[in-house]
Parts: sequence; C-alpha cells; structure tokens
Amino acid sequence: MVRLRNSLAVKLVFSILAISGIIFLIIFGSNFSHSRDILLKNVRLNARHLSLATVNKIEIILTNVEKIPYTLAYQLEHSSMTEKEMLTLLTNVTASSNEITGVTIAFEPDFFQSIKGEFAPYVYKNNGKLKTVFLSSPENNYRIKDWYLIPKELGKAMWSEPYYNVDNNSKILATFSVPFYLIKNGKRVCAGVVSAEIDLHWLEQIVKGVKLYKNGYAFLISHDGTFVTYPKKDFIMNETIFSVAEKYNDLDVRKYGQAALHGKSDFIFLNRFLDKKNIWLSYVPLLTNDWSLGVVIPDNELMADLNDLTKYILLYNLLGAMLLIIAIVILANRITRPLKKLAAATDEIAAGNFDVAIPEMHSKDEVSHLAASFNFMKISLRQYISNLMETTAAKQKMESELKIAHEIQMGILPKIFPPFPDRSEVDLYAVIEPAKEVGGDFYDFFLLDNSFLYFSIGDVSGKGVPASLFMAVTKTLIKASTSIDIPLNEIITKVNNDLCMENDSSMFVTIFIGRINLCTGEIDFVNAGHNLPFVVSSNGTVKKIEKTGDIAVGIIENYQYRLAKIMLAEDDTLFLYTDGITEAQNLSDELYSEKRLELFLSSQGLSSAKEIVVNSISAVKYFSDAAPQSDDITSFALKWIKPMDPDQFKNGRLLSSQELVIHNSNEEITKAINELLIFCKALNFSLSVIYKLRLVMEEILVNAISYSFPDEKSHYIQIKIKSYVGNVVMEFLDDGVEFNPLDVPEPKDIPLEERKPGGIGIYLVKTLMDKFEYRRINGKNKLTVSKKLT
Amino acid sequence: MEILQRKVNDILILSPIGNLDFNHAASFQEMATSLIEEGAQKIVIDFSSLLFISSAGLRILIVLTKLLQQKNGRLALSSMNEQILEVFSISGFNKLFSIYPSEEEALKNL
Repeated sequence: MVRLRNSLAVKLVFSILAISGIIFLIIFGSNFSHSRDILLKNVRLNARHLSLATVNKIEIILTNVEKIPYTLAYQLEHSSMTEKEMLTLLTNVTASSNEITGVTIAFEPDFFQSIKGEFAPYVYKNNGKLKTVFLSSPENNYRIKDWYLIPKELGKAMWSEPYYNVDNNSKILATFSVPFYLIKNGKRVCAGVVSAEIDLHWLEQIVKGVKLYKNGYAFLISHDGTFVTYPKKDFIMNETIFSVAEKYNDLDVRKYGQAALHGKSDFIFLNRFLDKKNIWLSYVPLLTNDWSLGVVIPDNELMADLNDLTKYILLYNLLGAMLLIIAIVILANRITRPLKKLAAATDEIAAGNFDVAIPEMHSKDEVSHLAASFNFMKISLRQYISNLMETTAAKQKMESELKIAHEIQMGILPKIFPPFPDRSEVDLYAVIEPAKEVGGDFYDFFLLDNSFLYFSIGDVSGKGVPASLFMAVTKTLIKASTSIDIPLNEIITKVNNDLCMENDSSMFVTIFIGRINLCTGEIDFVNAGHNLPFVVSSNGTVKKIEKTGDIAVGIIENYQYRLAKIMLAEDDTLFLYTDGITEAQNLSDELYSEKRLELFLSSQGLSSAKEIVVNSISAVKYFSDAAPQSDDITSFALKWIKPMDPDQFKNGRLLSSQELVIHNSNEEITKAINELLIFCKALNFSLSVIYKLRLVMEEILVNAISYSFPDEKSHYIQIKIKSYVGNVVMEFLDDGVEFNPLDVPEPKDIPLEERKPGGIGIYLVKTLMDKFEYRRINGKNKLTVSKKLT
Repeated sequence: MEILQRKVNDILILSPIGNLDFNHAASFQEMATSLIEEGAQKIVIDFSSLLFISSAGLRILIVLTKLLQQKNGRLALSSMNEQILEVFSISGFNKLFSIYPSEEEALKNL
C-alpha cells in the first residue's frame, strides 16, 4: 500500500494549494496597496474640499464684518458728523449685524470736533439690548490696547488675536480694527481707529459642524498658533499648537504648526497625534486673518472599510481553498483509483500469479494505455515462463540421466572398506568426490596370490559421458590384463595399445598402477603421466615418488612403459591422488597445489588410511570455500603394516583351518575347546602350544560371553583356527556390543586382592600370544591372536 | 572335579585332579574356603594331577592366599607340570606364590 503522505492526492493538494496561495498573496497584496492609495486619494480630496468650504464659509462672514469698520472709516475721512449722528450710526450698524457684538470709533486726543482729550464711543449688545459707553477713562486707557495701538502704528487694518470678553469670560471675541486719517495742519495724520468686535461662538459652531467619519473633527488655530476652536475646551485660548508639540515632544506637530502659520495647506499623516490615535490631518489657511483650519480623520476609521474588505477577501479565499482541496481530492481519487487496481493486479503478477486479470480501463487516457501494456507484459511473461519450465524439465531429465550414468560409473569402483579385513598388513582407503558433471577418475585394487596387492588410480582427459565411458573401459582392460606373472609395465603397454586402437576421440588417461608385496613392502609401479604420489612415513616425513618420464595411456601406440620400484618402510603410507586435489581452486583463483598437499600430508604420519583420505578431502574443500568443484577429486591411501612373520606369506600356504560357530554359553566354550584340542593334535602341536592356545581360547570366550552380550539374548560367536607354516592364528568374531579387551587395564600394578579374573585372563592372552589384535568391523568385534610355532 | 585331601601334621594337602578351568573353579573355591573357615591354616595345593589351570583357577589361588594371610596361615603350591610352570613364569605369577618342585619341599618350608 502507498502511504498517505506519499499519495498522489495529498501531493496534488499540497502543491496546488502552495501555488494558488502564492498567487493569492501577490494579488491580495497589490490590491490592498492599490485600494489604500485610492482611498487615501479620495479622503484627501474630500478633506480638502470640506476644509476649503468651511474656510470659505468663515471668510464670508469675516469679510462681511470687515466691511463695517471700513465703511465707517471711509465716512469719517470724507464727511464730518456730529456726536449724535455718530452715536446713531454706531447703534444702527451694531443692530444691523448678527455677528457684530460691538463697534467702537476711537479718536486720538483732541481730534473730534470741539471735544478736548480722548473720545471713544462704544456701542455693544448686552442681552439683546444696545448699550453705549465712552471708553475713555484714566484706568482703562484704550490707546494702549492692542486693538487700537497695533493697527494705528502699523497703519493698516487688521484682526486682533482672539480674547475673552471682559464682562463675560465664556465669550471669546476678536476685533477688526481699521485706522482712519484726517488732514490736520496740512498733514494727513492718523486720527483714530474704527473697530468692530465679533463673538467667535458661531465660528465654533461652524467648525464643530465639520466632521469626517464618526470621530473626525476640525479645529482652528490663530496666526500665532493659539487654538481658537478645539473639541477639548481647555485647549481653547490656553494652548498653542507649539505648546502641545512641546508637551508631547512631537516634531511632526511642530513642523505642521510652522507650515500652517506660513499659510500652507497639506494632507499629512501624524503618528500617535497628541499621544492618542494615528490620524490623517488636512489643513488649509484662512486668508482673511492668517488663521489655519485643521481637519482630523482617525486612521483606523479611514482604514476600517479597507480592513473589512480585506477580511472578506481572506474569508472567501479560505472557502475557495477548501473547495479546491475537496475538488483536488475527488479528482486525484478518480485518477488514482484505476492505478490502484492496476497496482494490486501487478503485485499479484509479481507474486507469480499470472492468471490474475488486469482491470479493464474504459477511458482512453495514459492509465488505460499502461494497463494495456501490463496486460501484454503478463501474457509475454506467462509465455516466457512456460517455455522456461519446458526447458528446465528437459534439462532436469538430462541431468538425472547423467546422474544415473555417474552412479553406474561409481558403482564399478570397489567401495567396501576395509577391503581385506583379515589382512592386517594393509590399511587401505579411497574416495572419489565426484564433481557435478560426470568425470573420468577411477581407482581400483585387488589381491592376487595372497601376497600381492594390485592397485591403480587414473584420470581420463575431459569430462562428461565420453570420459566416464573411457574410464570404465580402461579400468576393465587393466583388471582383465593383470596376471601375477606379467610385469606391470607390460600390462600398461598392452592396455595402451588396446586403447590407442580406434581411439577416434583422441582421449587419453593418466594412470599410476602399482603392486605391493605385502610381506616386504616392496612396490613395483608404472606411472603413465599421472600426478606424482607421495610416501608419508609415520614420523611425518613426506617423499615424492619421482617421475619415470612415461606418457599418458592412449596417445602413442606401441609405447614401451618402464617399471620402477620403491620400498615402503613399516607404517609408511602411499598417497595417490588425481589433479582434482592439486588443481582445486579457491575464490581468489589460487590452486591448492602440490605444495599445500605436501604440507598437509606431513601432519598425517600417524593417521590411518581412512583418516588421511577423509582429511585430505576436507582440507581441499576448506581451501576451495564456496568456489565450485570443477573436477572429480580422488584420494587414495595405502598404509603398509609390516607383518609379524613375513614367512607366512612366503608360499602363501595355509596348512589347515577349522571354522566353528558357538552360542554364548559355557557349555559351548567346552565344545569349542574340544574342537581346538582335536585340531591341535591333528597337527602335532607341542603340549606347550596346545596349553597356551587352550588357555587363550578359554579366556577370550569367557570374556566375550561375560561382557559382549548385556542383552542376555542368544548370540553366535564365530571362531576360525588357521595353521600356517610356522604360525597359528585364531580369530573370534561376535556381534556383541563393542568391547576391546585391550582396553582392560594391565593387572601388573593392581594389588593382588583387587585383581579381577577378566583382567588376569586378558593379561595372560597378551603375554602368551605373539600378536593380539582387536577390531570393530561392521558392528562386530573381531579378535585375532597368533602364535609362532617353533 | 575330584579333589583329594590329606593332612600331614597340621598341614592340609589338596590335590585337584584334571582341569581347574572356568567350569570347575567355583566348586574348588567353595571347598577350599570352607576348609579354611573350619580352621585350616597351612595348605599345600598339589598340582601333580592337575592338567590345566586358567585365569579362573588363578583367581582362586589369589583369593585363598588372601584368606590365609588374614588368619596368619600360608599357601604353598607344589609339583606343577612343565606347561603350567611355563605359563606361571611367562606371566610372572610365579612371583606371587610360593611354588615348590615337590610336596616334600613344600611341607618342609611351610
């Protein structure tokens, strides 16, 4: 199964979401910034329009107010009026204007007609009624007041800074003053100032009416920066824009104040304005009196719509993304469903089930093409495998026939060991470890004339059935040609000629053939191109049997082979082998080599023939490790044990022999002893020999009956008595449990009273006989004793 | 097997006749041990009529020697034939026993 995080659907969802997310973010970002710019542009325009309209409204009123002092000043300069006419005019003018709260005409001293000193009539509204006062008084000298002094000195009409009403502190007033001039003494001199006073509360109303967004507001600062109107009352007249800039340590506010007082206009952003919110500020000047109007828009309200829009866009995008995921999952499943079916089917095919149906795809897309390809592959595979099975079956049949051929070939080799159980002079063992393929190795041995053991080893060139057939022919020819009175070299010469005849396949065979005289250890041999054998002595010395220079058999007809001789010492082993041993390779392609074989043999001086053969094959296999065996491995060992009395073989003459079988009971022992006594008397053995043979037979049989048959069943003991020239031999063979009487401890060192009869008996046998041997052969105990006859 | 017995003074002379082999050893041992238990202290075994002795017989001789040693008695063997004597000497058993050529010499030395 495909893990979830590796599935196509999940991969698709992630990659498409990532890409669409990036696209969305780009669009969203640019849209946001663009919208913000448009918004700001609109707000800026709105704010400016609003400010200008407000300023306009204020200026209209102020200009109207200004007209009155100007008109009065004009009248004063161009006509003379009486005090009464003047007071009437002032009253009318004050009453006619809504905005004006009072009008003053203040003269320089001694300038109004006959009146000496100062003259300044002042008409003002008080609770809806007009009142007239004269301002001149010693404690209230109008000539040092700003509204009078500054215009007079500067010689121009101007608005005063706003100020509180003297009588009513809640009222903020401002005065517009116009100086007027008369000719006195031929000179045009300033004769006084006409001023109109207005209550600024209407201004506050107008400014308060300016509002953008929920919490937007407007304010007015005078031309020295004093707050004339402001939503916070305590700012009005008490603070200037510079004092608050100082208080909040706000450089931007100070810059704004300077720009505003220079009659500039702008739309600016102020961060944390007066330590509160971020605001946008639009400011424009009042040209009439150099004041400045500020319109404040809180940033959060300005951006509220944009933020709302952003939230909606995000929400819709989230919904869109979810829809996208669902759509992708459905789509991916629709695409992968047939693929999954296909994968399940191909898994089955991979597991060897070629009968599984590939799911049918009705679409004409890539998946259905893939399914069709798989189907084709399945059919081809099935075809291929069925062909392969046929081929394999044919091969197996051939291999099994070859195996049978091989078994037949091996069957013609002697394989019962020990081959001559009653010949103590020879210990012989041989093994062919066959290669996988049928090979051409062989060995053979047989006794002729009691004293001579013939043996041979050979290796046919090549492998396979031809080699095995050639080997069978060679072995048969050798055995058929062997006769005691024909020297070995002549035998081989004859075999060579036979094999050369009509040898169309040009095969040949290397042969080492030998004949050992079991009495003397003398070996006659012919080495027809075979590997050089070794002689291993019991002390571990290893000698190679040198070349005779003869060539392999089957090559040159009428070739004369030479006979050579060696002598074996007591317990020497002759080791023969084929090149399967020396040419065995390991994984590094090294050969086992004669050198390694020689080294191995030097450790085998005390081994039996079987041990040498078995160990040599183990050593070669260990060396080869996992490398395949390419050739037959043949190992052959012949150990010569010097016979006690070689004379017995001199003529190979057995004088007499007796064989009997008894049960395992005491009565049968008596019977056997009687037979022995008859045999001995017939051969005229001396009393001493008879006595000893009798004693030995009794001891051995008593022992066997006592120890070999713990199952208490009936068993047979086979006894052979053989008389040779100068030698008598007794053999005892029983099928009891393995019991080697030679293992019974010698009684010599045991105190008298602890000696057991069995121990004494065996001790007597050993002492009285010349040879005492035990062997376990094929599950049987075999005891051989012999006594020289003198 | 037949065993003759005689007494010369306090010395008991036993003469087994025939073969002292695995077949007859048990009866000879039974008889000889009962004689020792009855009080015989000095015993001469006369081999003059004995033809054959195997390890079974030798074992009895060892047992008897042991028994007599416990009772401060002694065992002597006399008049062995040539073959028996040869076996005794080849095997070294002659060193374990007091062996005399004749009964007289055996009696004299006990």
